[in-house]
Amino acid sequence: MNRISPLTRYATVAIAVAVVGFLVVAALILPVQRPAAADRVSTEGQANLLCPALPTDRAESTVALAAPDAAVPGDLSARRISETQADPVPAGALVHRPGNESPVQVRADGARSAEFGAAVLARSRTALDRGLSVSRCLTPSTEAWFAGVYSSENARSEIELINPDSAQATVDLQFFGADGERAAPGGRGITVDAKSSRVVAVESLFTSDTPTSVHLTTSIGRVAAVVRQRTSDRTAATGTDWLAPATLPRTSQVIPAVPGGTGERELVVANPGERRTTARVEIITADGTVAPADADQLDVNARSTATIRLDAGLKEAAAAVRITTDQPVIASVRAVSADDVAFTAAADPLQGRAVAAIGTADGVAGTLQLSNTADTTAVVPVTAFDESGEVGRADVEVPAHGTATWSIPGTGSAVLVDAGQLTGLYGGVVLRSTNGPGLASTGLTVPAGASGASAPQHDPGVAR
Amino acid sequence: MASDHERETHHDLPPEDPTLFAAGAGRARVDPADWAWAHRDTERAPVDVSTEHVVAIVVAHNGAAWLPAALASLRNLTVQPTYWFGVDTGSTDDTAALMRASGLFHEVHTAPADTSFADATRIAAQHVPGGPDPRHNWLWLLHDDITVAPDALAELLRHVVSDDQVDVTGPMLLQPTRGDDPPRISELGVTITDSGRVDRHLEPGEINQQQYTSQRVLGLNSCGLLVRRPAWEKLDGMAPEIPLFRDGVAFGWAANAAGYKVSTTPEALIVHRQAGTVGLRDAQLLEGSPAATDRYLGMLTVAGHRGRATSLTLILSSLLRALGFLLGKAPDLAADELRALRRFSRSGPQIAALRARYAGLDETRVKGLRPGRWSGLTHTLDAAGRGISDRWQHLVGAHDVDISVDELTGDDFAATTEPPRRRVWINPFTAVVLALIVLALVTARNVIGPGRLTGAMLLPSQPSLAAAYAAYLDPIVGGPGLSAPPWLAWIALGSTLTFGQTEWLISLVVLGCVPLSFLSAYLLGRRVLTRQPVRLAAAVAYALIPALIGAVNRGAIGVAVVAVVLPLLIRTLVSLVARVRAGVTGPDSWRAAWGAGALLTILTCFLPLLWVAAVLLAVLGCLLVREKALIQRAAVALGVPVVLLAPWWPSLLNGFSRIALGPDAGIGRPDAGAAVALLVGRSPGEGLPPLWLSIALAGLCWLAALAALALQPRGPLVLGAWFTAVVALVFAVGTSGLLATALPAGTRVRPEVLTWLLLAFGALVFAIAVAADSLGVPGRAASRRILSLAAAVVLLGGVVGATGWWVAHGTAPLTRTQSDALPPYVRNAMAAPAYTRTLAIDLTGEPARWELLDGAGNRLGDADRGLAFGGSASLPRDTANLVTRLLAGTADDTLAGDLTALQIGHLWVHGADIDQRARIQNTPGLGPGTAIEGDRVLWTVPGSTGRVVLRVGDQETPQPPQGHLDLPVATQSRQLVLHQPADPRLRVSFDGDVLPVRTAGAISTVEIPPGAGRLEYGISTPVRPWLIAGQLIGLVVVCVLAAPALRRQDQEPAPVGRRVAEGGRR
Repeated sequence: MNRISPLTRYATVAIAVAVVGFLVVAALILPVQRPAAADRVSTEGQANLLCPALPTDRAESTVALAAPDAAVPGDLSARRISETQADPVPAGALVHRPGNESPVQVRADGARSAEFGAAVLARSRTALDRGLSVSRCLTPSTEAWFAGVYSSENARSEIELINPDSAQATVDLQFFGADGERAAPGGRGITVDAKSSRVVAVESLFTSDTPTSVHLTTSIGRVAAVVRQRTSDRTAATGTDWLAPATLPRTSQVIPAVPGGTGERELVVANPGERRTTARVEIITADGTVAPADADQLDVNARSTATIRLDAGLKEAAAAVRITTDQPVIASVRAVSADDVAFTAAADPLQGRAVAAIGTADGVAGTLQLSNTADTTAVVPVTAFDESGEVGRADVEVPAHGTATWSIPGTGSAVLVDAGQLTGLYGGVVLRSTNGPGLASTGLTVPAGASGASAPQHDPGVAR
Repeated sequence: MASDHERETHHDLPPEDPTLFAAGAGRARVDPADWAWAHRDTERAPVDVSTEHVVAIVVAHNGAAWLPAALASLRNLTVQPTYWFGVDTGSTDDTAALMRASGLFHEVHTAPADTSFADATRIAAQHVPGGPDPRHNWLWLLHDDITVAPDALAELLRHVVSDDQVDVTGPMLLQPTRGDDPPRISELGVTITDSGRVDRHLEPGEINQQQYTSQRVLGLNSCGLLVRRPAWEKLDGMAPEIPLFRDGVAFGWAANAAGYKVSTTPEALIVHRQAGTVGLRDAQLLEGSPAATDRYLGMLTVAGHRGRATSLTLILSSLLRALGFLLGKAPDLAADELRALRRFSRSGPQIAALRARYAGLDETRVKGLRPGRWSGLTHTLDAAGRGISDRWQHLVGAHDVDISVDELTGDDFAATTEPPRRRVWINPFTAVVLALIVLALVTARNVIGPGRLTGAMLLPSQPSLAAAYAAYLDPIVGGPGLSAPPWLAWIALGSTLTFGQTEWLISLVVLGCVPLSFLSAYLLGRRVLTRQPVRLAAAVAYALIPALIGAVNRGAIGVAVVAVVLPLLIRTLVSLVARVRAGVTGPDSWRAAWGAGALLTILTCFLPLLWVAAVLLAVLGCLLVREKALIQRAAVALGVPVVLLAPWWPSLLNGFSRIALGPDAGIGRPDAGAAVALLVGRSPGEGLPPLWLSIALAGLCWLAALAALALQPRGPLVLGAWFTAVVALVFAVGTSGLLATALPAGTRVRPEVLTWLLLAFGALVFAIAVAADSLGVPGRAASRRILSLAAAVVLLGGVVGATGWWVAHGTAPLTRTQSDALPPYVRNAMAAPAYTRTLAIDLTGEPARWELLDGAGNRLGDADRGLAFGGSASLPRDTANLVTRLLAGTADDTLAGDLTALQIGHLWVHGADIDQRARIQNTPGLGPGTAIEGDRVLWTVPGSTGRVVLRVGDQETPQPPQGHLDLPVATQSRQLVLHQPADPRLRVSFDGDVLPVRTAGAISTVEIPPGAGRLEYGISTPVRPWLIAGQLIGLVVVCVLAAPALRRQDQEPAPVGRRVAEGGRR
């Protein structure tokens, strides 16, 4: 060891340090291969929507089927629920079909299932169904919630149950009134035959001066359900509209597309849980989100339904209503105009390419109402198209915590809202007759599974 | 070892030495008179032996070399026989002359050369008349290769006079020893097992401390045998069929069976050289080697007393022994065994004669004197226990006996009376081992208990040994070019050793990684390091690396195995180089190469790229040394994995990146961290120490390694270690940024880096240890001493700090799973009879995670087998699509059909909120959801009837995944439908005729003919069983070639006798 010169020692150590240094540099500059973004697993499959039966008696009614982009592969077809033969809807088109007493089943296959819309419209100047009613077509499910079902002297409601499957479905209904759960003999074990529909008149079960809420579950099979509500004064019908199912109970709910203008605006909140709750109410208008004067809080008892008037707070503005609670609740708004009534239920945020198949109609003007609960302004591309093609397009700027509106061009056009991966964007279409009584509000057909959530990931550790 | 050393220094016996036979005859020569008081109380009453008439018969054959010593001792007998009779059996040397010239004998008789000892004694007994009273007439049989204690005959006679029941007795036979050594007992009565093996009831090397008293035995050596004459005549002397070696035991057996009392006389002492056994006698009777003759005679002895069945047992056990010797690389012993067997098989007349001779005897009389049925087993266990104990003593250095300066200078008073043996059970090594075991248990406190160990890189172990073997043996469905990785074979073989409990093996390897790595590193340390403290500290530092790089915390079983095997490989390589350097040739010089090959095979199984690194290092080493012998051995070591793992190579090269992956890489994630963190031992993933600790410990390691380099800039070991570390880090840094593809098809993961980190830091620790070991005692200069001390304190501080972290957090993210996430009935449905799959979705986090489960769920090695997807590339995609649609709530009519196509019998969802639950529930064709324990919902898919179903009309009956069915004549059309990834190896036959398979996606359908017949179906891999058998045979061959050769244990005295005897001849 003594024979090794200090120079050798230094040189060896210096080389070692240099090698380590080289490793450090290499580690810093070597490129890192990144995995290709997970193949976007398409949700290609099949989507089914069920459109409620339309009153044909002395009423004008339409089923609108929209397949906006011709480039999207996959078929769209429609047929009466009882029939097996389906009529195809050409891609890139909007088709209006005359209304039908039988519910219509709309089916989208492949990629088309992520971009299509279907809705029904009915209007009548007279008789029972006076006014303008619009509803989007609905997905069958095993559970549905309705807030604000009226069954009184001046209001009648019917629950339409549509069973698209080839086996009988059995439905149970549960009602929550102002004073708690309401006994409704006959509300349980309602059978709906295969590929048919059934209407349950709520008045046959009970009447109530205050609105009730309905929890629908199936013990066998699944159904699409919608409530048709008719109001009247002592002498004549005052309005009609459909009430679509509200989103499932949550602690935060947004009711989009509350029509502006004069008239009563009643917020209905139902608390299906076992604990009393207080809902904080906010309205989202073009000017921002505010708590309405004198109506910023609503106490809701356990297993019951409560209402509060928002007319004063809304000040005739087109808005969305947001409620926040500590217990899961459901909600909707009833809007009354001079000559009609409209119901708007709490909805899920928009995602992907959402379609309102009925944006305008002959003698009906439509306004797209978009509300943004996010903290940043959202720029939303919207397109209106009718049977002949595109009739207008715009980039609607929706301010943070605000509401924006867009008048839909054309007569008899549909609208496509490209919400993409935006979050916290809610929307709906408000329709008014230009030549008669009529107010309606409807949500959009939102493609399933197009949410901003990332694709599910394979993980061998699940259920280990 | 020790006895070897002692043997080398033996020298001849001085026969006239009066203290030769003294019990505990000592290192210090002491006048017995000085110690007379100590024996006073043991003095016995005098017995009159003069009444006894003794005829002493000395049979000699070619014994000129040792006869004079024998005769001299006989002349010194205190009690002389009445009559001396010598028989010379045709000696070719001057034996007869020596006997005659000695003047001792009354008569010397010359017999032909083929006269056996039995015949010789018979001749003598016929020639010499007895005394008047037959009860007091004795024959004393003596060999020529003996040294008799002066009082030997006196003691024998004293025994038979004081106990007149005794008819046959014999002395204690001693091994020849050097004057300084205590006398070791060679024989004091023997018995013989059913296989013909002699059992001497003695510990190897047992010393005579007068610990034995007279007792009844089956037989005695014919040397020194004292027989009452009537008994001799009744038994017709010794059996001539057993001419030597076993003649005594055969005679004793016969005497016992005839009702005579055979008993030992331990007070009578004779040193017996065993010249015949050792092969020094040129005797015609030997017919080949003495060992073979001994075995043959042993077998003959047993056969003579037993029925024909015994002969079969003897032949069988002899064949087994021969095989064992062959496997133990002792071909000469095996040859002896076979020679003995051949002789035995031709010895029908001898056996018949013996049976006739022993016909009237009562064999029940010897029952208590013969070893039990299991004596062979206990003997083997004893030997194994001794072997382990010897190894341990070797490990702790009990035999590293330092010789004190005083002893070397030869001062009489300096001689220690006790050999300076280190304490075997109380020493630093044992203390560290025990401490590490206790600490490992403390570390594992949260994962000790029932259930199966799992971690980020560890799937739960197989439920049974059969499943562990099946994991390696079964084909991967849907992957015709793939085969299970061979590391699963090691797991299965290892589980066999842990009593079939795979979980025990996994827990041992993962939780015991640190103590096991310590042991193997210490073994390496013993080879290359001289200082015990450095060995211990370095081994502990090395053993902590797997924990500190997070390998233990993640359950990286591959790294744990490498951590244990790597030091053994290095040790083998060191010994390989040492042998080459020492110029050792012959088969033994190849042992290390085969051993290195076997160890490298293990490493290659757990990370194939290690083989490439080994090639790199070997090429470099060979270039530097350029020695032909070394290159040849390196080629063997590198070639063994290539040959043994040959069946795996196609599968390994199928996707190139598998070579850079460890076990079950498919369960990993493609996360990439900063590559520079690798240099401080940090890789992406959980279970790492805090950043500061990693930096501190790795920094310390780098600095100390640089210091080691400065100390030994030309030390080959330090340079080699540095080079290895750099190569390992180049592999780690170079591959860490890449993406590899693993099974299930399409899974992207990062290449294995933990093993490289282990190798790199292990090499640095090795370099530090080598340099620290070579440091001299610090000089007188205070500055140097302080510096050395400071460095030692800092390094030890690092080791202590690392140990502290390991104990606190060493198994933190590991858990034990009971595999009970799925309810029992779901698990049952997956296992049988329908073998349906379960789709599990976890919605507790973002994004949703899912897994398709089948059989017993995901088990060890399943990721390398493609999990439930097998080799299929489309199945993972299809399932992902299905999950997306389920969660999207498309309420899609086709979903139910897709679930059935995959034969998903149950859908298990964890953490679904009300919306998600409703969306899934909307799926048509799904049964109602049931909430089960802990925020989980379970749906059944009624349409899924079984992975393999026999469809007759509309009736579907589930069948096992593979097997056969006996079908009756059909009236309706019938098909076999298999829901499994498409595989061209699927073979379905009906009464031997192969049926065409129609495959669509993951469903294969086979139309079955209407007639009655046997339907057989399954993945057909006709070659694989042969390949695996070949692997197994190859492994056994390599292990045999790598194992040390057997040494015969039951001939311990032989070399001594040979040397002494040879000395006598000179």
